[in-house]
Amino acid sequence: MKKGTEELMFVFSLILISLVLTLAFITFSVAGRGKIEEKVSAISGNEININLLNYLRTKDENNNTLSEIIVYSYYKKDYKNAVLMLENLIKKFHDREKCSIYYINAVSVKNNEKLFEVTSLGKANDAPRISTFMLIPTFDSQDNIKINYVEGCKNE
Amino acid sequence: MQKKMDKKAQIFDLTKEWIVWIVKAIVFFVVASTIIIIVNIPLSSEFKTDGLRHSLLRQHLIYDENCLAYHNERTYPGIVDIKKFTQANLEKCFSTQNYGIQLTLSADTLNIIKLNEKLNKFEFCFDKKNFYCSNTTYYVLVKDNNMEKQGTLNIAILSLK
Repeated sequence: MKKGTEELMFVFSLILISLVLTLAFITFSVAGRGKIEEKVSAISGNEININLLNYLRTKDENNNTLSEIIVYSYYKKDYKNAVLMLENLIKKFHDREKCSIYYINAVSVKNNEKLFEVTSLGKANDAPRISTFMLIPTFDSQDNIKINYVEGCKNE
Repeated sequence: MQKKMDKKAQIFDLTKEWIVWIVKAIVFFVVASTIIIIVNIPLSSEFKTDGLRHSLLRQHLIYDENCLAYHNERTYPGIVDIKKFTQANLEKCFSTQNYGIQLTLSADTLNIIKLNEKLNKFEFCFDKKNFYCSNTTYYVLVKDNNMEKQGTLNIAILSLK
């Protein structure tokens, strides 16, 4: 091999090494980032589970839980009482200062029909959204009521 | 004359070799710096876990039957047993020295418990430069002698950055 070619090979091999390393770094950093973010958001979702769970097991003056009222409303096709109770609970206990955005809706799993929704009236902002859902069984073994809950809270 | 020409050719060869070596050195330096920078990027990038740790601590307080969760045959996460909302019980369930916690349970009455006084003897989150603070309010049901009351539980956590 000529001396000139040898030197050129040396330079190109160095450049190739740096290119391969850069590519490996980019691949691993991009692939790893998504997984970390997913785990972090899964843990945050656990926190708003408590709020939704407690809304659904809150009892009214007749000792019926909100989830029972929702199932009852499902058969009556009238969700007025359920929505009213949910709105009152949110008005009284939801932390509006930190989490100005909230959205709750109920969907029939069988036909994907929206049954009711309760949302904040505030303007949408950049607050990161956390979401969770719970299933309420009905007497129809084919159908469940899915309650979706989304909160948008300011970062600390 | 021939001797003079040979010497000139030798000097030219030497200079050419030097130039080649300088070019090689520059390329080597650039590649080495690139590798060092690439290796250092993930090492110097900071992955902040304070928020995550606070979140896990809050969940420990709410979900664990040894902390606040009501237990009757099974554990009910999110239902606070008022009998467990005492300084002694919470100190037992939360024994770390690195976090200061203030729990405010508001149902019929307002109950405040501060854990690890060393860290939270001052106003909470007074210094955001040196401390990481989080403040979360949950809607909870409070179990008090077979009665279930509605209320809120605010958990404020403070830790050194």
